Amino acid sequence: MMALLGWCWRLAATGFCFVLFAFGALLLGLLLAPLIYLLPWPLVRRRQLARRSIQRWVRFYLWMMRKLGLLTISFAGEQSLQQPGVLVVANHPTLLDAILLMAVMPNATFIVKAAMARNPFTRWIVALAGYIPNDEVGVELVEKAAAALRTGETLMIFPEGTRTQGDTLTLKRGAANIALAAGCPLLPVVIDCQPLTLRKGEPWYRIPAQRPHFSVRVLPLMELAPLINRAQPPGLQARALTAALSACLQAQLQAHR
Amino acid sequence: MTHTRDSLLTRITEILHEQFDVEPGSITLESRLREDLDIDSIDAVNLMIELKSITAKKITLDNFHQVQTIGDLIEAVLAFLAQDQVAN
Repeated sequence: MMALLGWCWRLAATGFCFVLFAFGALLLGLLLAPLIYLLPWPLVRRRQLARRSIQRWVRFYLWMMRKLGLLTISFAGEQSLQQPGVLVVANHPTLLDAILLMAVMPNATFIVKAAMARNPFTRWIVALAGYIPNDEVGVELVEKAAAALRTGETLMIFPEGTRTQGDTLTLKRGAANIALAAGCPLLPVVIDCQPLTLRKGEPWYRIPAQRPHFSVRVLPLMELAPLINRAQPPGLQARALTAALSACLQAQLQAHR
Repeated sequence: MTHTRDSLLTRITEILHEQFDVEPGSITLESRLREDLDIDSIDAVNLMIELKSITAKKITLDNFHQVQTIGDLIEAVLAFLAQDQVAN
């Protein structure tokens, strides 16, 4: 009986949180973004403010979800996400992953879903924050991302390109190509959610039987040199690096289950 | 040097094996570059560069997005070579 009541509570609270998120995105996207846009500040400062605003908002949102008893969250090693000039790569099991990372990476450039950069509610804040949409033609995206890394920005990408389908990680090679082009190390992050929820194609009301726990663990930096052979053709280097990253993430996911 | 469909298939198979680790036995005229051979858009750019060894100069395929299979690629290269000959 208590379990059923708890489940009903979480269902109602989940619905509320989806509405709250839409409302917050609206506020951020349609009210705050134009205000930031109008500030007579240099681009970099406006970008900082946009990113800070996003961080404040997602932090509040996560706090709210924890307080409502919808989930628990643990972070490990998140301080190292502040390093400049590294490419942060994470697996992407759920809808909340970007929000979890935005909460602890206020200075990072995120590579975001193209729909976010086109959506009339989110496009302004996404543009102001300097996030890069993932719909650009492969080569242009790689160049743009590598250029940002070379100037010392911290870049974040989900190498799967979308949320994990099924149990196995299938990484695209874009992340490896970006790291190779920029000559920068990878900083892998493992996101685990037990029991799994908010997967791709899963409607909001299909909530798990128990309250899910999200764990975000930052792994040690992966330097490129030991993983690839620079004398090889670029296509082979990208494949080798992608395979190494995939093995690393997969092993860490299994080790902690 | 003249190229035939067969000679192009042989050369393209070599390139795909050397550059992208594609198993030569898996390559036929019907193989789709993206879905079957795992050639992504970044690989495609490197492939174009490698095709210079056939076409002598940097190949521009305006209709590359229409190239889906190995067969399409061979026809596109032949068309480029023919056009190049007329231009000279």
